[in-house]
Amino acid sequence: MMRVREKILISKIRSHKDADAFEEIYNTYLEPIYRFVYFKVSSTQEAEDITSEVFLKAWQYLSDRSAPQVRNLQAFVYRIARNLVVDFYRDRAKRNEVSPEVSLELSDKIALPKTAAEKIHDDLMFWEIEKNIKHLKDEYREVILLRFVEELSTTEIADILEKTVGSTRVLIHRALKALREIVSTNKKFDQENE
Amino acid sequence: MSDILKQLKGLKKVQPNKDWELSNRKILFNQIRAEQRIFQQNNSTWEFGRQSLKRTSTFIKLLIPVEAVAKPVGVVILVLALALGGGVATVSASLNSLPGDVIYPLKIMTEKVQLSLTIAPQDKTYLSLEFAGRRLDELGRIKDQDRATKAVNKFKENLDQVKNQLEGLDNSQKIEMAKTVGVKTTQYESALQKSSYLEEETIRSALHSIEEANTYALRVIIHKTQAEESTVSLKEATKLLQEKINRTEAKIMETASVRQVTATTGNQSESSSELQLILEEAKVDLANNNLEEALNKVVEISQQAIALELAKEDQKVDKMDIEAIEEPVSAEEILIEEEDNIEPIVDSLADIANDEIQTEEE
Repeated sequence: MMRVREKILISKIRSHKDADAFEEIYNTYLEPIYRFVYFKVSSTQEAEDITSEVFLKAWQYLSDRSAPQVRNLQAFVYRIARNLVVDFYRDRAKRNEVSPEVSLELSDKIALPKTAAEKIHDDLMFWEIEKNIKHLKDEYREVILLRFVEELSTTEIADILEKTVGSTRVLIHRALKALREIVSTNKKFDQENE
Repeated sequence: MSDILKQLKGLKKVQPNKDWELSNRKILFNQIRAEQRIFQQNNSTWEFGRQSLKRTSTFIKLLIPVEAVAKPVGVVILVLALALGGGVATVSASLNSLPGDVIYPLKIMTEKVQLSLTIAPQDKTYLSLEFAGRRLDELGRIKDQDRATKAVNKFKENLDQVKNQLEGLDNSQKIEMAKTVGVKTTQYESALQKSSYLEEETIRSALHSIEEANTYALRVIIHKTQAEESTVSLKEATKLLQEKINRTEAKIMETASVRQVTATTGNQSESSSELQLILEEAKVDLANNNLEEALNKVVEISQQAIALELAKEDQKVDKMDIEAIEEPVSAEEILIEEEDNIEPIVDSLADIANDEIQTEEE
């Protein structure tokens, strides 16, 4: 979404609680935020709960005239999501729940392609990338998702992570390197098993 | 490699469940619209005032073309504000200010006003280009990193504006302006490389912006040339591209020689010779008048060069990490070793003491 457009929407919500303006923001960010949360909590149920909370919090903040005005909407929404995920893990640790094995239930989220052959090929590709991305540490998975799936710029990611552009660039570079290493070791492993 | 990126892009297909999406939207917006209604009821008088003002202004619009009046009115208000609150002296003093100074925002504001008062699109582009030059001037006078980063960020903003404005120009103006942008960015590049005390990262990000704007300008010229098929502009475009290739070659040579001095690993020098290979191909393309292809190759070279630089930096950072980790570990090891040694010493001391006691008793 264009920066100017976002500014207009923000001021509309702030000045007269414009629901239509907020719906535009909701439409823009629902999918990316859902994906972002989903890859952090790896469960559909939790991802749905957290995502709806993100937008409720965003609305409450944006429509509150006494709160400081939001300058960067994208970074603002992503930061709420990050904080809520942190809260979610903290609460769970308090309740002493056994943390379930990270399992990304990808294959049932994918829109089915037309032919069976295509479907099998796609499923294989997803299975592979899912398996690989699972082995990355959270910090890396996060930047990989933002940079290569959501295709955000380094500056945008830096704003979301509250880091400098330089360190973000290094982080992305390392994350990609780590992913590449995982892919190549897995390939080797597969070949040896064959 | 590109395979991984393609697979990653496929993860976009991960989407929220449609049923959930519908129900969630309904619940959320029921609540939000209810809040909006309550708000509107409480502010209905204000809302009415606003509406009637809107109606009045529509009426006035019929009589006076507001757009024509708005700008001069803005200027009068601005001049009044400046005259009452500090005056022209403040503005001219702010022209010498640097990022981080108290009056620096005034300088930026003045520039923005100047830009909004300029109507001709090509003048706007030129102004943004000039402002970018001012940022470089400031950068030359700054000695601390924090301010430098601010200046570079503003510089990038200005160059982005240049690019956007250039994009919106009419064809006839576009090519003239693209040439100016090309010349100016080249000047900026050499000016920036002289400021050696800045952090590499800062310089690199500024250079990156310059490179982008420069490439964009050149692309505009090349497109235009190919569309017109005129030999004069073809000659000119070829000359510009030749210059860019020369500059890129000089850069590769420079980094290659630095690498040889620092004697880094083999695969990096391999990569730089690979870059030279692409450069040779670009020259061939240029000779065959495949300007676009040649430009694409030059862009590829600079992208790879950046990747190389990053890889180098990463190695440095990795090394630093390892050193940082190693220090406490080795200190601990010393302690552990000492502990091992202390026990036998204590034992033997006790033995000696026992012996002495025994001899005394005897």
